[in-house]
Amino acid sequence: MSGKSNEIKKIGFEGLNRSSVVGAHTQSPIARVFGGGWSDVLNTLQIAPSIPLMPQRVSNSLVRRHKETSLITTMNRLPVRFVGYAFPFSGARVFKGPNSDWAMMYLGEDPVYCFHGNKLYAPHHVTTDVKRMAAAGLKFDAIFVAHEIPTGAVKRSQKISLELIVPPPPPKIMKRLRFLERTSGSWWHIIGNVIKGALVAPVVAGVAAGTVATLPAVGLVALAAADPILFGVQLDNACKLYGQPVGMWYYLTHWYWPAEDDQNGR
Amino acid sequence: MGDNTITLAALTKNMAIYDSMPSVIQKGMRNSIVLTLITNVACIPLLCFVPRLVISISPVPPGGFFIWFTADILNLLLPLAHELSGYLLVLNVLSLTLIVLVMLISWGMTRPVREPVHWLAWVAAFPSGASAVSVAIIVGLITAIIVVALVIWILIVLAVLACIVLIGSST
Repeated sequence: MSGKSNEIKKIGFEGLNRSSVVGAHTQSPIARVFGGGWSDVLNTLQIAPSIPLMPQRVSNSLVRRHKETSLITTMNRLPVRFVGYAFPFSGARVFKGPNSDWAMMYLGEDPVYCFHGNKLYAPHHVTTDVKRMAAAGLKFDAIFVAHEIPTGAVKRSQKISLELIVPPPPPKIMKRLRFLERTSGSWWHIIGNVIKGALVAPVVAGVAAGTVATLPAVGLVALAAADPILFGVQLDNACKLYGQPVGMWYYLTHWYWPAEDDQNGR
Repeated sequence: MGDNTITLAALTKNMAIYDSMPSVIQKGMRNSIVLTLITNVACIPLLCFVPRLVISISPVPPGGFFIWFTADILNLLLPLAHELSGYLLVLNVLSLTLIVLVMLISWGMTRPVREPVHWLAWVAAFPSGASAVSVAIIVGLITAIIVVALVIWILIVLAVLACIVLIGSST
């Protein structure tokens, strides 16, 4: 996990609490994001706190939805925060950051989400938070997910590989899977030796060993520990800038995949 | 973004707890699955064939190719192989069933699976390996007896040839 992630972990979202400030000229809400890790992350993801260049103010319907969202969030003490404006997009995009890169995509196009049969696996507190948000009546037109990836691991035009962002199995399960791997390996090693001894012909064992060695290494052994952030986006197709609908982006939740000695995930 | 927009309400239905997340089959276990599959595919036809072979050749009459003690040993070994092949066949079929099940659930080891499936693959390796060892020991013993019988025959032929040469040279 990068230094930046740790910084984010420490800072939390203290700085994002006051998000209802309204731009003097545009009458559009301005996100107040204070410094630290989050500021870097949002800069990297090109989510701007305001849209000063916009020729017209954000549509009334979006402002109304923003007020509703803020009200629901405050009343229910939800972690949702308005973080700014950006254009939503299709496919995955890689954003180059100062300390690490980020891959962001619409949740339905997230390789991990698709790999798990359109299921999002997250720590218990995250699922609870998302359920609370839905129960409170929050509505978003799209949900995006951002994964932290090592710097330079993917070029802008390249596809995001699953291996880069897939979470490792839960530590307890990983321990048991390693036990299964180790014991089955030892078992076949013993079998190979006994057969070799019984037939006095190392050919059989050689063939078996050869088979093992030539197996394609497609296993996801080197699993990454990406830090996903979920964003909710509210759109108004009537409100466009340079021909594209502007999205109001909200932080929903984030989590860390636990290391072997850390079961909390946050 | 297309029509398949995921709403927050839809996401709550599609969310699952991380602790129950299925995992991909790791490389070591993949190797074990492949070896189990190879062993089963090799052993099952062999074990089906063994009883017929045993019935057709046993009891081995002494005095043929298998002379002296080799026929006796073979007559002890063949019924044992016949008896054992039945049990080994059951073990192999069981192991093959488990492995095919694992392959089906994991779509040929390309999709993540829940922990019990990993355990199934692990369990399947044991009967398969035991069966492979048993078959190898029986085949090894029978081969050893054939080799011993062959060596005895070679020695007999050589002895006869030596006698003929000796008799020829003395006359």
